[in-house]
Amino acid sequence: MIKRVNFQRHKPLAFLLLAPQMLVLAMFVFWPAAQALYQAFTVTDPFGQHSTFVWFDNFRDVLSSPEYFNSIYRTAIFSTGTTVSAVLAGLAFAVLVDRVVRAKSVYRLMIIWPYAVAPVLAGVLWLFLFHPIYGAIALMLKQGFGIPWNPLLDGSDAMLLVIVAAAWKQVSYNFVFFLAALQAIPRSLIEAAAIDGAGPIRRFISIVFPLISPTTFFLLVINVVYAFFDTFGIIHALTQGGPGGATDIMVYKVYADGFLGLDLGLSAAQSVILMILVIGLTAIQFRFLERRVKYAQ
Amino acid sequence: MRKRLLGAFAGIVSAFTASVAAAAPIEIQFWHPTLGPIDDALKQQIDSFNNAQTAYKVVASGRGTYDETFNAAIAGFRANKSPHLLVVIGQGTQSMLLSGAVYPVQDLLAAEGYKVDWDNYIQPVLNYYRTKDMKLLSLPFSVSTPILWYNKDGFAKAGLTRPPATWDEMGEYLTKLRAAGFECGYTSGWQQWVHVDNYSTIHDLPIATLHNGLDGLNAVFTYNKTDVVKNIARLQTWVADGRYTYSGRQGSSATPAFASGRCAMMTHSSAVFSSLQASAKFAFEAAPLPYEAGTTPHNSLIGGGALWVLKGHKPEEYKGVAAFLAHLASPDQQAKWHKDTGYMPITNAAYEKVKAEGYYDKYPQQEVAITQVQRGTPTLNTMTVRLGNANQYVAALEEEMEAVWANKKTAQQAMDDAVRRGNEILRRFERQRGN
Amino acid sequence: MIERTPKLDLFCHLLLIAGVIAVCLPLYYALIAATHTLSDVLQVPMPLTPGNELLANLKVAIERGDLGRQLLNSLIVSVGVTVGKIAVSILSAFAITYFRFPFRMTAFWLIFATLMLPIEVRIVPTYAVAAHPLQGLGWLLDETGLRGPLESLTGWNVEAVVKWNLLDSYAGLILPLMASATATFLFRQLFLTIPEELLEAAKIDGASPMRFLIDVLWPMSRTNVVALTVILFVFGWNQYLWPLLITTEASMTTAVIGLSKQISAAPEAVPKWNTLMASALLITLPPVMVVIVLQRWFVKGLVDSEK
Repeated sequence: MIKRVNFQRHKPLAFLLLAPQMLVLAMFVFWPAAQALYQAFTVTDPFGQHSTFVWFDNFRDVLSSPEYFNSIYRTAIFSTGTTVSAVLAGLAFAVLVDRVVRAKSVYRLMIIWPYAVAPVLAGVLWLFLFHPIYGAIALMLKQGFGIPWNPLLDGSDAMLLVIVAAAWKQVSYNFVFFLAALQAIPRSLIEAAAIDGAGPIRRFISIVFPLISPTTFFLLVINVVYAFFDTFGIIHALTQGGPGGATDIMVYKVYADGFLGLDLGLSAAQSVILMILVIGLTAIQFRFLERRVKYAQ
Repeated sequence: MRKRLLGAFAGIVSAFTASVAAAAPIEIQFWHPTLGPIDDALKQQIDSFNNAQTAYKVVASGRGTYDETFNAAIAGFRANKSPHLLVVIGQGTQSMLLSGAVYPVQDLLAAEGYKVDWDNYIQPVLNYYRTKDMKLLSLPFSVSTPILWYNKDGFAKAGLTRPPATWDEMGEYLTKLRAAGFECGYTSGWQQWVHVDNYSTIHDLPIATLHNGLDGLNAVFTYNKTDVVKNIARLQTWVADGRYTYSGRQGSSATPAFASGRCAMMTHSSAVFSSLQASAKFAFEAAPLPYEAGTTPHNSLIGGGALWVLKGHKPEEYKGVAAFLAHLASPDQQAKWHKDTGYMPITNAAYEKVKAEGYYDKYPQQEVAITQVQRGTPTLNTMTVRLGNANQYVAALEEEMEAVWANKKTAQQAMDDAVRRGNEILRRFERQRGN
Repeated sequence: MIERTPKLDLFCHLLLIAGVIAVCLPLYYALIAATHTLSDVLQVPMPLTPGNELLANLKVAIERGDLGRQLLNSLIVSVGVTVGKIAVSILSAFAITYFRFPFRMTAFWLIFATLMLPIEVRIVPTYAVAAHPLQGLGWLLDETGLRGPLESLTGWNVEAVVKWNLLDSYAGLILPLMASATATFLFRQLFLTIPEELLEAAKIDGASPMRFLIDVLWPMSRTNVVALTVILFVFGWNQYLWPLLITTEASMTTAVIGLSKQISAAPEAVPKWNTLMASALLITLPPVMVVIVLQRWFVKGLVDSEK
C-alpha cells in the first residue's frame, strides 16, 4: 500500500532513507539466515572443521524421530494452553477493570508490570515458588492441600507450571489491548441495549464481544507466535524440556540440539520446519478466523 | 636534513612504542563456567600468577554453564576469536579430542621445555584425559568424583553408627532413616554419572564396546545388558516407597535438599564440600559409593572440568599458557585449590603436603574421593569414557531414567530405549567428523 | 454504570484483588527472599513476611556482582537499541509509504520476512558476522590482489581494518538487535492512517520530503514513539542469548546475563537465593519504571497502531 499522494521525484532520497535499515538487516539477518539455511542441508562438526552436504538427510532424520513428534505434540498443548489462558485472563482483567469505578489506575499498574520482566527471570521467579523441594507454594500445595506436586517427575505438573509462567507474562500485553478496545466502545450502544432490557451478561455476549473481535483476533495471532518463539527463556529456566520430554517444545528443541547437542545441521533443519509451521499457522488464522471478525462499520 | 630528522623521529617513536608494547603483558584468555562461590578461589589462583610476573596476564571470563561456555568457545573458534584456555566438562573429552581445535597439553609443555614428572600425578586422574598411547590431552582442573554424603546427626537419630558399604545395606538404612522421621531418605546429583557410569566402573562393567570408546569411533552402548538395569530397577522400587527422591536432571536441587536437612543421604560430586560447609547446619560425613554385596569394588571415574588449550594462537602466547599451567600444577597451588574448593588435588606431592599438615584429620570428607579413585586395579573399562556428543546421549539417558521414576517404563525398557537413542547419537557423531 | 449493581461491583473488586494477588505473588516472594539471610530463605517453610536484610543483601549483590557496571551496560544497550531502531525504522517506513521507487514492494516484503527470523534461529552465523564483518572485503582484496598496492600507496593498515570486529563492544551488542521489522511496521500503519490532505497541503507549500517528515509526521508519531520506547527499552534490557555470546569481558556484561550466570552456576553449589533475588529486584526495576511511568502513552501508542 502506498499513499495516494506521494513523492515521485525524490527517488534517490528514498533509497538513502531505506539504506540504514536494509544495511543492518542484510548484515545481521539475511546473510546469517542464509547461512543457517545452508547449514540445514549439511552435517557439520561443532568446530566447523568438516562439513558435508547431505541434501535432505537432516530433515529426514528430524521427521523420523519419535522425539520430534513428541515435541510437536508438546508445542501444540503448550501454545494452546498459554494462548487460551493468557487471552482469557487478559480479557477477564480488562472487563473487570473497565467496570469498576474506583482504583482503576492502581489495578492497571498491578497488572501491567510483568511485561517488563525478562523471560528468563520470570522462569526463575516461578521456579523459586513452585520447586518441589524448596518452593514455598509447592510446599503449601503438598502439605496444606495434599496435592502430590512434582514437576520434576510428573509431566503434566511440569506442563502446567510452564504454561502458568508463560501466560503470566503475556496477560499484561493482552490486558492493555482489551482494555483499550473496551473503552473504545461507544456508550450509546451499551445504553441502548440496557434500555431494551439486556443485563450485563447479555450485553457482553451480543454487543461487546463482537465489537472487540478485531482485537481478539489480533491477540490470538500474537499470542500464538509468542508461545512458539519467545518462551524459550521460560522453559530453559524451569524445566529444560523435561521431565522425560514433557515440556520439550519445538523452539527449545532447536536450542537443545543446536547448543547443547552441538548438532548445528539438525538444529537448523528444525528451525526451518518451525518457521514454516508458524507461517502456516498465521496464514490459517488469517484465512479462517478473520472472516468472523467484525470490523467497525 | 628534513628527511634525516624525520627518520630519527620515526626511529624514536618506533622504539618507544616497541618498548611500550614489550612492557604490556601478553594477555591469555581463560574461559570457564561460572562456578558460583568457587569463582573466588579461581580468582585467587589467577591473581597469584599475574602478580608473580609481568610478562603474561591471564584474563578469566566466566561464561555461564558448562554448555554455554562450550558454545561460546565454538562460536569464538568459528570466528577466529577463541580463548587460549577453555574448561570443558569431563564427558566432553571425546568431542574436544576430535574437534581438531586442540593443542594437547603434554605436547605444549614439552615444546616449551617443561620437564614434567607425570608419574607424580595421581594416575587415575590423568588417565581419564589420556589417549590410548598415554598422551595427556588436557590438564585436570576441577576434579571430582561422586561419593556418598550423609547426615551424621540424622544417622545417630536412627541408631546408625557407620556409613553403608553395600547397596543392600543402603536400602536397609534408608528404611530406618525414613522411620526416624526423614521425609526424604536419599537423593542424588548427576544421576546418570552416579548410577550408570560410576556404577559400571566400580563393578568393572563396560558402558560401551571398544573400552567405552577408547579404541575407536564405532562403539555401541552395552549398559542395557549389564547389572546397571538391576540398579535402576532397584531405584525404581525406592522411588515407589519413598526411599529415593528424584532431584532433577543434573541434581542442582540435590545439594539444597541435603543441606537443608530434608534428605539424610546424598550421592553427589565430592566438590559439594565447600557448599555444604557454608550451608549445612548439621554434622555431615562422606563415604565411598556403595557397591554390590559380594563384589570387590574398583575405582570410580573422575569428572568435573579439565583445561584444554586451543589452537590458533601465537607462539609467544603459548609460552605464557605453559607457564600458567605449570603454576597451577605446583604443590602449593594445588593444595590451596583443594582446600578452598573441595576439588581433588591432581599431584601426589600436593596430596602428601596436605596430609602432612594434618588437614585430613580435621576434614576426613576431603580424602574419601582421593582414596576412591585409586581403589583397586584399574582396567581399560574403568579408565575413561570416550564417547562423543555426550551432552546429547546423557540428556537422552536422563529422560529415560525420568520415565522409570515416573513409572512409565520398566528399567529394562528405559535402558533399551536409552541405548538405542545413544547409539543413533554416536553414529551421528561419526558422520559429523566426515566418516 | 448503567444499573446500580453494588453486589456485582463488590464481586468484581474481589475478583480483581484475587487476580492481582496471583499476578504479584512472584514479586512478593522475591521480596521476602531478598530481605532475609540465606539460611532463613532455605528454611522449610520460608518465612511469610519480609525481613530486614534488604540493604545488606543489596550491598553484597552490588559488590560481588559488579552490578553498577552491568546496569550501566544494560542502560547503554537499551537506550542504543531504542534510539537506533526508532530512527532507522521511521526513515524506512517513511520511504516505503511516501515514495514511489523501483523495488519498493521488494523492500517491504524483505522487511516483513525478518519478522519470521528471530535471532535464536540464526545466532551462530550472526555471531560469525559480528566477529568478522569485513571478512568479505578482505577476501575481495586478496582475490583481486589489491591489498598490497592499497597498503603501500596509502599507508593504511589494511590488515587492522579488515580484522575489525564487533565483539565486546556496544556496537556489537546494539546493532544486531536493531535488525527487525516490528517498529517499521508500526510506523507504516500509522503513516497509512494520516490524511492525504496533509501532504497535499505541504506539497503546495513547496515543502521538501524531509521537511514534511520533521514538521508533520514526527509530531503525529509521538504516541507511537513513546510506545515503541517502552517496548524496545524492555526488549533491549531483557536480552539473553545474544549478549551471552557477543561479550566475553566482565566489563561488558549486561545485568540480566550477569544474574543468570550467577543462578545457573555449577550444580554443586547452593544458589545464594537471598542476594540473587535482591539483584533480580534491582535489575527488573528500570524496565518496570519505564513501563509504569510511560503507561498511558504505551497503551495509546500500541492500540492506535494496531488498527
